[in-house]
Amino acid sequence: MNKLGIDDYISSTISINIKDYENSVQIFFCGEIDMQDPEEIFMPFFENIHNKIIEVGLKEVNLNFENLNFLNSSGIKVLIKWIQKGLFLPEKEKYKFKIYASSKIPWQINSLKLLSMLSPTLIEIKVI
Amino acid sequence: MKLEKTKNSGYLELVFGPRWTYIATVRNFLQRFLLVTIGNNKSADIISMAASELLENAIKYASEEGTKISANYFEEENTLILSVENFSSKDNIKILLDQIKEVNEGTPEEMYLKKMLQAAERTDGGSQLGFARIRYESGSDIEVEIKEDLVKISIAFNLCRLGGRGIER
Repeated sequence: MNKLGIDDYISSTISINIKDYENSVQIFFCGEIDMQDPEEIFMPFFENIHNKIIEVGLKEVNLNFENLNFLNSSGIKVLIKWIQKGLFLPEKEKYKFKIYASSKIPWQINSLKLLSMLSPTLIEIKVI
Repeated sequence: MKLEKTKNSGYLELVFGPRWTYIATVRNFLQRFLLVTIGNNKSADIISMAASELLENAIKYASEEGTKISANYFEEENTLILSVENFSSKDNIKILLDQIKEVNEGTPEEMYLKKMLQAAERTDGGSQLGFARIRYESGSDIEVEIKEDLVKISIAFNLCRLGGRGIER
């Protein structure tokens, strides 16, 4: 079990694995997110991660999208909602998002890079 | 479906019932078809992403069965035209036209950022990010034609820009 104490999410099209990583956690997305309402499925999961990050006192979360082949725009919205929750925290609870994107997957280069403009100080994009 | 003679270098037309579960299959098939037709993985990925977003919209706002997707490759112009057609209600057509008008108003980057911020406030399942995303990721404009309750959305992709440094940011 990872330091957040949260189980991985696994379905037929997507797996989300949480692994301990140095003083943080790394969350690996693998597969495709293209359901009609990803918010219903993923927002409670991301909120749980968000709350545990604050509880444990982590200052960074790593999101690894290298193996996420497709993310629809409703899925992008869910990601924005999570990031927005992090941005509006009080200073002592704030944590950074380090996002790993694949140079081989065009949507990641384009949309994830733009996502970092929501808050360049708290979101870092690493293209692999 | 009427069979027509075509002189294009690559041509695809699919008609299917508006069911969400078909979208991934169509997207993946189109991606492979485009890879064979235009021979560029990056362009194939971007166009199939756009197709998927248009199909999601078509299915969300369809008033009747029947969604048609076509891809038409013009080798000499190095252009691929993607179209998605479906039937929709008057109210939904108005929403669609307003969305496309809004997205085409600013630069692709500022409109996508604006729509991202708006999406974060939405509590329904939708995001209304699709058109802004397509425009930003592909650098292509979105055109719409309405004939009574038939809606046709088309995008002409310049393949030099998609595959080359034109789209890199």
